[in-house]
Amino acid sequence: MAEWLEAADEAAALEQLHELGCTDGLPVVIPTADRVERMVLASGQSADMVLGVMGPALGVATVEKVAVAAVMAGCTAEHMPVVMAAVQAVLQPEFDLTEMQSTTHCTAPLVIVNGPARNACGGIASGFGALGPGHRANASIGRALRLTMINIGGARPGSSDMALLGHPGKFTYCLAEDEEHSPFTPLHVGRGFAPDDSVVTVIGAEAPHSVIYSGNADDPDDAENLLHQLAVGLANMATNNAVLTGGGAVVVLNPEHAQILSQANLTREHIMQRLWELTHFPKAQLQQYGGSFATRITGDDDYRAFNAPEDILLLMAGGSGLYSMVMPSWCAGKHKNSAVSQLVELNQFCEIPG
Amino acid sequence: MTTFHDPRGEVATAAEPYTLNYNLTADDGAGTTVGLLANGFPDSDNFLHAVGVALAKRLPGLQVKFWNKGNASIPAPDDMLAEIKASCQVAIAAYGH
Repeated sequence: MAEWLEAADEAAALEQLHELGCTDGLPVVIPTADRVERMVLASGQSADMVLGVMGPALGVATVEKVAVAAVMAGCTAEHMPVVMAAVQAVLQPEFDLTEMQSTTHCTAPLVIVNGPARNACGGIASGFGALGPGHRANASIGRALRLTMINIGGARPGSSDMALLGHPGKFTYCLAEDEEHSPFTPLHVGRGFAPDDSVVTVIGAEAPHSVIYSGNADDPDDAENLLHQLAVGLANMATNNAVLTGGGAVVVLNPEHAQILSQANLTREHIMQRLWELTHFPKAQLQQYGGSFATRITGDDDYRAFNAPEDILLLMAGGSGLYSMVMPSWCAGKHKNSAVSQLVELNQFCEIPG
Repeated sequence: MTTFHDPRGEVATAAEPYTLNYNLTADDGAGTTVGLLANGFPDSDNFLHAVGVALAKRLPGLQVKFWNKGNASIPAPDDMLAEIKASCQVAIAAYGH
């Protein structure tokens, strides 16, 4: 059942939403009845269908409340399938959303889109500057997810969202994989989906960390050197991945770096395997820098930052050049804040006439 | 006048009203057990042990019991909460780093 607010006009409504703590601090589109109704209609679902309960406030995520967030974020109806899938993904128990929303760490759900939805849902950017600014679908979809986390999940800075400083990806954090130009199988296929499936993968991630590498085609160790650089970024001793261990992380190769690895005949699986190997560290290193977190590592052998190669999410996006990106993660919660992939149900959605 | 949706979600589980008061000082605490629950970080454990010592010094009849949930990033397990509820009249939680 919808609950309603009233204000003198839309400008007053915006101020009211700011005062209620219902925005991310930026202006929003006012979720009027007709705007939300169109968004619900686009979903092809009933307004009161429940997608799940979102912590820490234990708010009920109905299709209508998600549609409200999508309207506020500036989404078009085309974006709605991806927004719905992203919400469904973060609501899976293994994502540990309640705990993630409440942590002091700086983490936000990175939304990675694969398959036909990249084009069908408003053109989600995967090339230059995909993480923004300037790409409407990326900006709006990621922001809609955040607004559900604020208004349904109840995450508010300093009282229930305890991130010490936060990070800019907590406004919006969404990109697509550049499947057409990647020499590797796409991320969703690596995670068991069919190439023509539309899939959203969410992972709680820090802000992107740049990894500089200047390739040298004459060096037989070119690919291996690049992998070492990426591994340092993924799990250096300042990251939760190296100290808490057992979580996931993201590697976003730029096309030039992807080419270096591909020319060395490395596949997606080879790269993940090698990055996993390169993030095994001596226990003494953790004892020196990890404080009390070192006590849970037993034995004298090296310890692993990642439990398995599959915990490293690999994709290609962005423009060509010196810089790839890595996103370490929180690595806590009951399920270590696991990455979750969710099918985007394109067939459920209705086209809304202009 | 503009009418628009309240974006806030309906809460699935309403909070139950409760009263937070208990007289610890009656009979110097005799018959009362205080549960001290640490979140798993060493500081929380150290702090609560200091609280326990201070309480025992002031109220010699008081019983103090300690729990540590061992992992700051998860809720306290249900069986631990049940144990605290069954054996304590008062519970104090602390977090640390």
